[in-house]
Amino acid sequence: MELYRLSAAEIVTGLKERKFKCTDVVASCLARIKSQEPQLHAMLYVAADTAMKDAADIDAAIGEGRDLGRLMGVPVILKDNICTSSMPTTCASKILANWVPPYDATVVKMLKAEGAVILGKANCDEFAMGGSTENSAFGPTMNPWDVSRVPGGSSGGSAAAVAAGYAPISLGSDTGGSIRQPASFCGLYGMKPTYGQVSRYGLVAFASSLDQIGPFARTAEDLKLILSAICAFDPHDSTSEDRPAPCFNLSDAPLRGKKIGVLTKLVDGKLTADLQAAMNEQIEECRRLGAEIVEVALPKALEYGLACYYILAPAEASSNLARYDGVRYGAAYGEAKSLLELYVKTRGEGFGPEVKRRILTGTYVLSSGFYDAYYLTAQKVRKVIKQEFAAAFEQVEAILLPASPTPAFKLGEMSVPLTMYMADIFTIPVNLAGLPAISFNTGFSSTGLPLGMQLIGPRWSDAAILDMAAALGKKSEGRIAEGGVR
Amino acid sequence: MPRLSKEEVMKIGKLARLEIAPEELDSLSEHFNGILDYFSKLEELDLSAVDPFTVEDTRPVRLRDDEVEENERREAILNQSPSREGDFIRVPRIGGDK
Amino acid sequence: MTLEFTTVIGLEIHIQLNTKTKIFCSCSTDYIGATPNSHICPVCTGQPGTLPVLNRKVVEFGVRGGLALHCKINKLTRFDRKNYFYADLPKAYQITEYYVPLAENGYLTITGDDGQPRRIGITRLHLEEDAGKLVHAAADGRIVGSSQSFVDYNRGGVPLAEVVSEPDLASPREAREYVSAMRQLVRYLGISDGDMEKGSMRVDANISQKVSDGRWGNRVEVKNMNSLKALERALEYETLRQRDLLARGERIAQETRNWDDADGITTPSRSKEESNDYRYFPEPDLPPLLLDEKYIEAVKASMPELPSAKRERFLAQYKLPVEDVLVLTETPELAAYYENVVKAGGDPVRSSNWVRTDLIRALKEQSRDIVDAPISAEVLAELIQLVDGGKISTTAAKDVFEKLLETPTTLEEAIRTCGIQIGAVAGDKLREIIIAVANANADVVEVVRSGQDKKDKKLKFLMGLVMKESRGQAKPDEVLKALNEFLAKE
Repeated sequence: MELYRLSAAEIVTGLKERKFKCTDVVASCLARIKSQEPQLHAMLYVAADTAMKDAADIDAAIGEGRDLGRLMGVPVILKDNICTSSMPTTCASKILANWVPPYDATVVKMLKAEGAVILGKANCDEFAMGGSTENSAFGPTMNPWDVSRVPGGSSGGSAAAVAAGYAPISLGSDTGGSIRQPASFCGLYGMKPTYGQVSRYGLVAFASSLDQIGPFARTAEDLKLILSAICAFDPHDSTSEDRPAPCFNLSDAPLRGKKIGVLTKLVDGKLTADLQAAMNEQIEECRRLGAEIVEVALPKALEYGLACYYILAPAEASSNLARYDGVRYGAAYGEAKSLLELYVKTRGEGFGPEVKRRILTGTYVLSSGFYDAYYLTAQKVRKVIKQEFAAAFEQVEAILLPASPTPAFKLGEMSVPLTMYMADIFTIPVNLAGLPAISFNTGFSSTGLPLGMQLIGPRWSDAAILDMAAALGKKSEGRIAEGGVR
Repeated sequence: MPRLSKEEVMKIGKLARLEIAPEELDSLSEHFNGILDYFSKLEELDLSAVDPFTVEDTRPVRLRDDEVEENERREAILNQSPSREGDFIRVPRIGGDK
Repeated sequence: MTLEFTTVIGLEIHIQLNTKTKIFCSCSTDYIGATPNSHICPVCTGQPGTLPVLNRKVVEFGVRGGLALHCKINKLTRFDRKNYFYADLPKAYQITEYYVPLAENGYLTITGDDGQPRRIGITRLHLEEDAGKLVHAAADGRIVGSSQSFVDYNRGGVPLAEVVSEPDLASPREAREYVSAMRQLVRYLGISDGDMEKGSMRVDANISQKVSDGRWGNRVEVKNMNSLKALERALEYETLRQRDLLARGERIAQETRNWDDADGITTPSRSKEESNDYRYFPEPDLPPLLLDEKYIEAVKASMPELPSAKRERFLAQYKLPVEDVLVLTETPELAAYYENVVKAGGDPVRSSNWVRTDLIRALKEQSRDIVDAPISAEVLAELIQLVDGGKISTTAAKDVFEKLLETPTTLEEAIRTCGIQIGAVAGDKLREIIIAVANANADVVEVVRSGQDKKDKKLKFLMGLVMKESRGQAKPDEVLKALNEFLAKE
């Protein structure tokens, strides 16, 4: 079997057992990237040289009998909004083209500390704003399962890379569904941890109170491995929670005796036929595995979550992106005769249309005279949504919901921004409430497209929902490992 | 129904230091007004009793000790600037005072 | 009808807190004289992906300030973002406390224009971060007419406490006093140098005029006053300018004006072209700051003695006149020095005299700070005791004092080097000097002996000469006795 098809767990074991070398694994992944990239365009930067060098170092260490960590020798790909001091970090934007950060994100340090090999940076929607990776300033990424379709977004490159076998695991970021939706479109596990579980230090901020870094993987075991590496308190991030790291474990019957909440009434009519059928089947499977199905209500979350999010996220983004002015980093408009000209031209030329839309919206909702009507109102709605979830979790341990109303759509299909926004209906409320949620594959559509489901848990139940998702997603792991794009 | 004129959209652009090209203005205005329309949904809710900023579910801010940590990233930081000049970063002349 | 005017002044003071590190990162705050952009890190240069972490000392200093100003300390506060674009602002927003300040509703007492104590209301004290610095220069180094500016982020992120007063100040003099009192307070608290020239305390004023015919002129903001004197002059100028306009029936433009110290005028500030819509919203990267009663009590307990309390105590304890107390308590360091002199045995009044005149003069001459005093409090106390005990005269002591200033040495050594032997000139040696003086001033001696020196003026003259010759090493009463004996003889 080609080495690039191995899971992270298999790589770690295989290396320890001297079945193969790390340089072989990395070479296999790099070759896979080379062969698939012309069709997929999932990568913005491939660190071939440093990766091979790191691999050689790891081989040497293994030769000396040293153990470098739980991700020893595992190739990992990072979304290009995660700061790497040895590689460019562009956030798929012209305004940061060729920017090399002067520091490493905390998660990057953690991965290196566990012996991982960073293969490169993945494509995404510009500054993580979007649901298809079509907003990348450097061209879209294609879905490995059907290259006429999007891989999802904003972490589309990270998802496509893992689905296509570039690496067994990757990291993305999720602000309104940007891990869970692409995971769903690409047949992967994708997890957004509880807000505060994973350090944001080094994640280029989009919406500070909503962003979280999270992993993609083809197997639950791999997800467990990487989560164990990155879920830890970071004193550099004041929103990082100072609590013991969660104990991720895959047990035998995680659903037995559990109450799983569903929103069949609220979801009814909103899904494609395939997805509707898949969801119903998934609910049945939960029952078979010993869970009790409880109908819960999240009417406000589903009805008002989008409006709330599309006020708060752009508001925070308009402030977070104000620093891109060509002075300290990134591309600058070279002929500016005044500071004002430097600002407006650098930003006017450097930002793509979706980013501009969101900055303008955010600027407006925070502006004098409108703060109360929009921003403050949205914060109140957010609280109401949090309370709604809290009430639901008094009845159930997890909520089962699709990640997206449809499977992967065609490139260019969702051309009206507002329509694209509406598709975030099932993922956004989770970020508003700061909850953990995991996407897993639940089957395939009649045309062979992956169909994904989502499990949402109360805050800090990350380990529990991973366990449950593993039980439900296990059946697909074989087919996923085969992967898309031969 | 809140509607923004094109002039108002330009003003917001100015506030955000974003140059809006004439060809962008139409679609931007349209998008803007569409989304503002969507926001008016929130008026359906009675939020009078909701205080968004209580401390119940966030723990308080963590404090850091007042100890100097040397940072060796000075060169890396300055080198990334498109307009580094020696120890400084150069910007075009600022017009007025603060 | 003659118009009468009342001046209304409110002040905003930005106080740099002298913690070791910046408010949101661990860079050093010691930026004065440092190489530009040498105290920077990814956080304070606003690199993408970086996050703020709050300095606990900054909070403590802020609470100290709030308590000393008799404010209510808010137990739950948050930071907010103030969004605007400027070259010295790396994140394009300043992290500040807008909606809920750390402390509010306090006061600072000054002496009013009528000589009575007046409480000036403090609206709020809040914490925020300082911006970087801009240097405006042309390629050839000239500043005027340059086409570019240079940014130094060393100062970016230095902690500030902003104190906003109520518009309770009634005159430029009161404004100056208020700032002076604030400066003294922060130095006493140990939270800031309070130095306007160095920029660790920056003052902006809002000034308007109320007219007796019911009009109230618009408020004008005045900036760029870099010393107490400049503050007073600027506000005096502005008062006259506004009154003049109002007297002629004109309106006052609501604007910001800069003080031009060289020309002695305020001029309208070239307005920043854009509107000041700061779009404040709560800082999502920082959870709320929660202070409990225990913490506030602990800070209160650790507060040093405040200027007003120290002044009261000095008056009662050392029984000095008010003017002397004001000088001695000008800074906590000087007050401590004085008290050390007294503790080491110096008489309170005489110690006060020595410290207020000789020591302060010496410090000024040598451009030294009291903490770096050339003569220790203990040594000065010894010297004072020598004079008190009649061992040496005041004149001799002053000589010794000067010697100690020149070269750091022991008191004994200094005394020896001055050629002073304690109480040395007496008996024969004294008589020798008297004879010498008499011979040199025979005519004066004649006047005394002939009984014409009614008011002892000539006697005193002779005594002075003898004392001088004996270089203060003779006891004055002994000199008088010996001189009279000599003069009595024929």
